[in-house]
Amino acid sequence: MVRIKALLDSLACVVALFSLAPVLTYLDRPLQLFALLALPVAFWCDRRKRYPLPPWLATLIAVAGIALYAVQITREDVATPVVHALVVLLSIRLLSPKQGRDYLQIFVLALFILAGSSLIHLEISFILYLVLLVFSVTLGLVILTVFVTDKQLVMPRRDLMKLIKVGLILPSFSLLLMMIFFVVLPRTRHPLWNFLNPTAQATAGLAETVQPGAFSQISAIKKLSFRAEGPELAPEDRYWRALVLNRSEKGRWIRIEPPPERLIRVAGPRSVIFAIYPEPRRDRYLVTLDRPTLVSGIRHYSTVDQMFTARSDLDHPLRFEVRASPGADLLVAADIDRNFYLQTPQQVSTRMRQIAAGITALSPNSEVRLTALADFFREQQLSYAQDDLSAGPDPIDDFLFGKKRGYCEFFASAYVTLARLSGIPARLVGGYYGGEYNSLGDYYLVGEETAHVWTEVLTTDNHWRRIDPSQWAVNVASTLGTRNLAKLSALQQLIDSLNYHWVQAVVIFDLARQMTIFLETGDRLRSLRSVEVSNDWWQKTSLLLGSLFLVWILIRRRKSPEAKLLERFRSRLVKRYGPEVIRPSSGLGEISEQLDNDACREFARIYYDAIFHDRSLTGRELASLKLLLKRL
Amino acid sequence: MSVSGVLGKWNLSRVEACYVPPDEIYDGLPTLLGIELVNRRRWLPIFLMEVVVGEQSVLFPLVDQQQRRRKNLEISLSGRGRQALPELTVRSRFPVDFFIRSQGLPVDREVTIFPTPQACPEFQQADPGGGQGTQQNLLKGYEGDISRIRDYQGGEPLKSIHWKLSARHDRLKVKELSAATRKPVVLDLATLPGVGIEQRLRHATYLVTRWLRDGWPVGLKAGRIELPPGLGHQHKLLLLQTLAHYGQD
Repeated sequence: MVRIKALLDSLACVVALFSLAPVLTYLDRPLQLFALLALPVAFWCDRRKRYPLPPWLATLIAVAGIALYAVQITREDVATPVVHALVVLLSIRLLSPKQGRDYLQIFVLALFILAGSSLIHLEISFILYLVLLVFSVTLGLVILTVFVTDKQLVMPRRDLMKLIKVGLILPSFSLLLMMIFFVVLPRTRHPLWNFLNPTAQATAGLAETVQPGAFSQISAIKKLSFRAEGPELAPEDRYWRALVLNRSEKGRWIRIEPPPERLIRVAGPRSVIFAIYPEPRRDRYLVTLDRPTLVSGIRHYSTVDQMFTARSDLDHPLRFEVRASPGADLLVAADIDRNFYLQTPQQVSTRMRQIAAGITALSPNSEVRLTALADFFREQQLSYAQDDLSAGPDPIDDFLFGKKRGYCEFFASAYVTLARLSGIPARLVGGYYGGEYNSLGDYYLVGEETAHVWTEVLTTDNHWRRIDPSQWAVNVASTLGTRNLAKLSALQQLIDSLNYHWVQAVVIFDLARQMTIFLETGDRLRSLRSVEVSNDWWQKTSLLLGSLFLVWILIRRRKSPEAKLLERFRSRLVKRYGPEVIRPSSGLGEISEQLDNDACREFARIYYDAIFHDRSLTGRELASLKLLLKRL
Repeated sequence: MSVSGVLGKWNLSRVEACYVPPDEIYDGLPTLLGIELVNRRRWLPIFLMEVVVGEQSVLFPLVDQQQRRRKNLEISLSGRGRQALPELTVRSRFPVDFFIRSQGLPVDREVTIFPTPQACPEFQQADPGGGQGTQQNLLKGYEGDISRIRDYQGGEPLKSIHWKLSARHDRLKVKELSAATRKPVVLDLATLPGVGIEQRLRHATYLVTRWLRDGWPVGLKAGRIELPPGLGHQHKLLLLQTLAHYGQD
């Protein structure tokens, strides 16, 4: 036997646990300890029916807690203090004596805390806690109803299990409805609380300048930059383009507005489509696969040198699509302002000028000069490194002729400088190189540590061509090359897949995607009407009819075994004696007396024995009746 | 909310209830009225169903599908003769205590209420038959005193076995009872003491129940109705029903 009050007390603790779990790490240390202690103490108090806090003291502490956290509310952060205050209220409520409405308060506070946790962070664990809380709170409400109906009720365990089983229908259907409403209900494009904590999540971002030699060593930030859903690419095609730098000023490469140029076409053999899911970031650069041809799904600006910037902040998770031709050249009109891309840095060493002069003298053809330039880089035996880097007044010269160590910025800066000195228009391109492919979800996981800079040169026949001088480093296989070898473990892939689908299906599901779904559904419906009758129409039709028949079987009113038996009994007798003898109005007993048949009489006896005792036929009785039917 | 609404509606569907009144209900005296709740559903049990009778209610926490459960409710009814029991309503908060759903159920509400038994001082000590007590009957019976103990022969009812004595012997012993009879008595309503017919009916009810309990065969003369003396529960009910309906037909 189970006391309903004891069960309700335990459920209240479970509900509190599920609501505290997602916010626990965000709480102040004292409150963390208080909330954690409150759970076992409340459980113990409920068992002993002795509570540490009398009602007046509980109210006093609750008011003090609210006041304490209310003063911490700022315009930037409302959610955290509110969640803290809610946790105080919940803990106090757990530690006080409880009656009907107190349990209701605990359930409501728990739901508020979970909702508040989504304002602090929105991770996939939210859905787990949501499901757990929906189940436990709904079950709690059902048990609370029993408690309200009879406060002293004690139920047999068997009855209680039946109640719980039926009670579980509630959360199951509620979750199903929630899923439907999630897709159907209209929503805003921007989360409502954005004005409260505008850029709390935006931390990562690309450097907008390139200045080799500014630091003697760099450290890679291990942080996700974006996910790109699409086919797996060859290692030489994994260049993710973000920004173009075209002017050197005071030892740094920066971007200024490029002169107008007319794009003719992207000269690539194939085209791929990637869906990009950037993490919240400070800047507005949209990362695309190099060479991008079209960006869609987001309002943006584009420039002649294929840079794409969003019209609004990227401080919330979102999605856009990129069509690209990996590794393709970009053909531009001949009237391009070549001089703009030939401006050299103010400070260039004599050695570099000599090298460039040598290359220029070889041929006016850009192909010959580019080959010579590549040969020069290879001959220099440069190493790709992130520490013990060149510095000083002319780090590029030191990189090429002194230490011969540097990372992508050194390679790209040196290359663009030498190319321009050699009369070849060139520019720097910043973005990412590499990425870990998750074959479970078919997407690339690109981290901030894979940020990379390469170059583009304009050939004599007006093609912008990508050249990555870092690939000529002597140790490229063990440094830059490892970015393509990095593989996630199966578990990492699984965890990241879950996170990815969470972001894709829930976090970025906004009005735009809703509209897309509705429009696509409309299109599909329209295309259904115009579909031609194919050869396998009869298969589809029979499948459809079969399904409908199955549904009809399932939903039709089921007859009881007794009614079915009686029906068979009547139809058999009608066949044998005719409808004038066996009239529809005749009762079973009347028929058996009228026919003077032992089998009929026995049938009526067994049947009436069950019916008159208001019970169903037992298995044995059913078997005997079926046997008697055969004898008839 | 909508799912709980549907579940709540299901909980009230295909529910039947009926009164199971006791054999004897006396005017103004509290009695235990049986209430039976029947679940005609095939899949779902009935949960947290309160059956409301007047201002009282009785809770059925769970009734399994295709099952029935009975509970009693203490109730007082007034006015002798054929009376209607209060209307029967079922209500439930299940599954969530946001709403209470209720519905009235059609039930057979008619019962016969007997007059309130009222002690009759004139007959308190008197021997109704004018005799001096019981007369010993030589015939064997099942109601009188133990006349002798003998061995079990195989045809006797189990209740006649003297278990305590049988335990001391190696064979079963049975009690042989004598049949007790008393001199029959006929109550004449017209001659009973009391102010007005109602008081006489109350006295008659008292005497019928008292004398039948003591083993007197009792008959009744009420106006044109004459019932011969008799014993047993059915006879008692017949007498009490006659008294209950007296003057109402």
